[in-house]
Amino acid sequence: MNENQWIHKPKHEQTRRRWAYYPGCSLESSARDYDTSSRLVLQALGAELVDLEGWTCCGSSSAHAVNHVLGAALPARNLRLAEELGLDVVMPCPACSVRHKGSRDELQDPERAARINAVLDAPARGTARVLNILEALDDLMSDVDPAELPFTLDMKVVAYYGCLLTRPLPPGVRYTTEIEEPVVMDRIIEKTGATVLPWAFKTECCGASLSFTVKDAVLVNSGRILAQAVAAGAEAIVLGCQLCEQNLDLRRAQIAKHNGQRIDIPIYYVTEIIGAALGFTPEQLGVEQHTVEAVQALRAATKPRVVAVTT
Amino acid sequence: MLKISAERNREIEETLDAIAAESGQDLRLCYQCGKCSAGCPVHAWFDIPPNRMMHLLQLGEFETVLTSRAAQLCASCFACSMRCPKEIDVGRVIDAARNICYERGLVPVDEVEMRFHRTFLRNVRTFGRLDEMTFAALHNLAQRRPFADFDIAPDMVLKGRLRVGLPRRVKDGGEVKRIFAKTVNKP
Repeated sequence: MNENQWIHKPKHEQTRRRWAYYPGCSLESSARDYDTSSRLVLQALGAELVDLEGWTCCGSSSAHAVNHVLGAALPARNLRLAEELGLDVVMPCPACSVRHKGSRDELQDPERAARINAVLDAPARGTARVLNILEALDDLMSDVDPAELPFTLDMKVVAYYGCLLTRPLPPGVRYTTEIEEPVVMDRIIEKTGATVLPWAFKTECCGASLSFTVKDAVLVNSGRILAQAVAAGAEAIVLGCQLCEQNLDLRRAQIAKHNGQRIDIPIYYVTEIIGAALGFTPEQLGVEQHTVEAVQALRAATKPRVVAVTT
Repeated sequence: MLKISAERNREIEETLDAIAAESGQDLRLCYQCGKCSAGCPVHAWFDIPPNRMMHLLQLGEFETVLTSRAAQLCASCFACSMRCPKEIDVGRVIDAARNICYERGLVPVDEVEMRFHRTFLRNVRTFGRLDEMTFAALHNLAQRRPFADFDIAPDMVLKGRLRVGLPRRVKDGGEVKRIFAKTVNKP
């Protein structure tokens, strides 16, 4: 079985990618910083983003927990909007991308598709592909020569994938190395010159939306992730999920209080790290919206690339 | 001594077949290795660890699983599903369990998570997208903890992490409301 089968790589005729863009509910309010840097960086890397007019919520953790068809039909409506545009759709939020990927997989099965389409106004076909932020960045950066980037990052980081950026896989695809020891984000970050350290907590769950109900689970799990990153020697944690960001960054004081240990490591979205190497300032990328100080650290780590002059 | 009559055994087999047909997961495959529980990030807060949930289902103790705190609290991180050596999608089975719990109107051991889902889905049904501000306020009220997370609220406001203004209804032609009407009606 092909190890990278789960990465949907759209086949483009030209190098310029044209994708529908689905921000999701969080990126419209509590994670506007992630929306800002995602749009800036994807476009700077050569993608043309088309807003998905009239998109609606994917149902997140709640719809599928209550009713399976509801959890598949809400994303299917958005997939249909992308199909109407004839575009694949990129989704920075991993929860959104996972719900839409799952719905797309079900639409490939005629019996399940019929159940989903029975509750929609018009049927979705499941032809539009869904890319999460890592798949989109990996696609755009695969042919980027690090020497072309105007800035390098002098920073030791760990890549934190959380639970949903590398799973679940489509039916029938199992046991790829990308599940337990993913490297796609490491590969992307390394192009900026940053040192990506090995650690054991790449795919540990931060506790996600249990912050609203069983907060202890989030404060304990997120506290462990922070402590492990520091133990690995990291100066920053790089991630690609706004819920992970909120739990590790916005709730930092709550974590410190609960665990009796203060940790000051800054958190960055992978798009902010790439953006810094592309020459965007922390302010342009929205880094000042983070809770734990991250602007100064990013500015200090960003160095103009020294071009070797031959005489 | 535990006795399962022939009739009871047939009932269990039929239910396991029904679960397999609905979720595509054959629970009989589970041989209790425990990898699902070992990797579960929230099992410390569960009443029943995932591997025991699988065993209870095999033994026909369906109600115990359907109404368990564990089925409600599962964070759907899918670590269990990815690690199962018998390739059972454990996360999908747990999802099916709480779907049935909700459908049948059973009362789970811990209702906090179901209240959360209801508040969330009502918000999505009303506005088409989640309005985080009204959701957080209504969720706190439903939990009878009106001041939960007030410590992080000032930071969210100062950093522009809360969208200020009245919630807006997405122009979807009412399709989201109709999707709800045809599945769970009013959550």
